[in-house]
Amino acid sequence: MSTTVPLSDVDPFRWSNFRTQPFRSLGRVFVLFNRWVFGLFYLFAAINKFRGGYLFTDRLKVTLEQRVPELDPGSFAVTFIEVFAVPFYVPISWMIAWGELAAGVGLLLGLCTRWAAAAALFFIVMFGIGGFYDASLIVLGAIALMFILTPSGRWMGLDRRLAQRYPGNILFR
Amino acid sequence: MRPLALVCLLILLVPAGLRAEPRPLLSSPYGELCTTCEGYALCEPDAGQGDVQALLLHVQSLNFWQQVGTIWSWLRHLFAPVRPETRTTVLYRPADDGGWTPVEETRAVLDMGTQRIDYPGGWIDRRDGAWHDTGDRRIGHCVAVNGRELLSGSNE
Repeated sequence: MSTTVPLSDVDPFRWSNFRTQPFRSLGRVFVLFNRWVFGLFYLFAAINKFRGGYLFTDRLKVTLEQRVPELDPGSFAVTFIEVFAVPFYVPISWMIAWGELAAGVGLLLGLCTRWAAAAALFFIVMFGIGGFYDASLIVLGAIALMFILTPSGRWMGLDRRLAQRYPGNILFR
Repeated sequence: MRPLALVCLLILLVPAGLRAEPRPLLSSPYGELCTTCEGYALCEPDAGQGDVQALLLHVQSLNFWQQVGTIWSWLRHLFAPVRPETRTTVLYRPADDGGWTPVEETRAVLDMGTQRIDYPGGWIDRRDGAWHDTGDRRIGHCVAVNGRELLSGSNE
């Protein structure tokens, strides 16, 4: 028989709190709205990978090989692609597709939210290192960091229920 | 065995045929040129277009804020058609020394929907590279080139 304990450290998001704590509530709405948009972004990115045949074709390898001539030959990105990404493109393809799906679902549902955001940030950093850097990654990285630093899954999401059931579990913090 | 051989041949040829489909001029396998990529198109006049000079278009990478804006563009394209992309473009004309000289910095509109690249002096059909003037008269043909090599040694 499972038991739940009330979470005293983080109060849930409630629309009625706007009357008493307007700025705090506004901040939470901002974070939650961004979390859902960001989750959708990752979910669709993952769907694109599955539909694009990332798992069972050499699509990633072709993409990386086409990218190399566009990069500075002496850059770290070229070394990264040629020494690491192309030889291991199969496990990397799987990791990207399933990882983006997990990050998207986690952020949308508020499930293991901080870990999902950490995974999203990891992919952003790896895309940047792997020769696909552009300024949008800075913004996306900052957004992902926002979900790592805030307990948004406990404000609204499955993390709140799971943290009540499994107090102290770091997955649902 | 002959039908089987025919099937095998078809299996081999069909993907090859799909792969052979030409990519639109100045595009990537995923749509427009990547945000940090630049592209060059060399346009040469058809025979009989004596008054038309060759043109080299240098389509530049997106600037910082345009790159940031691609987050919204990416989300938007999930629900609506892809919108044209405007990029800074430098136009070059042949120089007297055989190289290329920049004549104008302008904005070109790259559109995957209409398959056109529009610049103030004309437009290019991205499917076949046909080069047109502003009156839609075909004046030549354009191909993607390695512009850095072409411009090395020119008065940039």
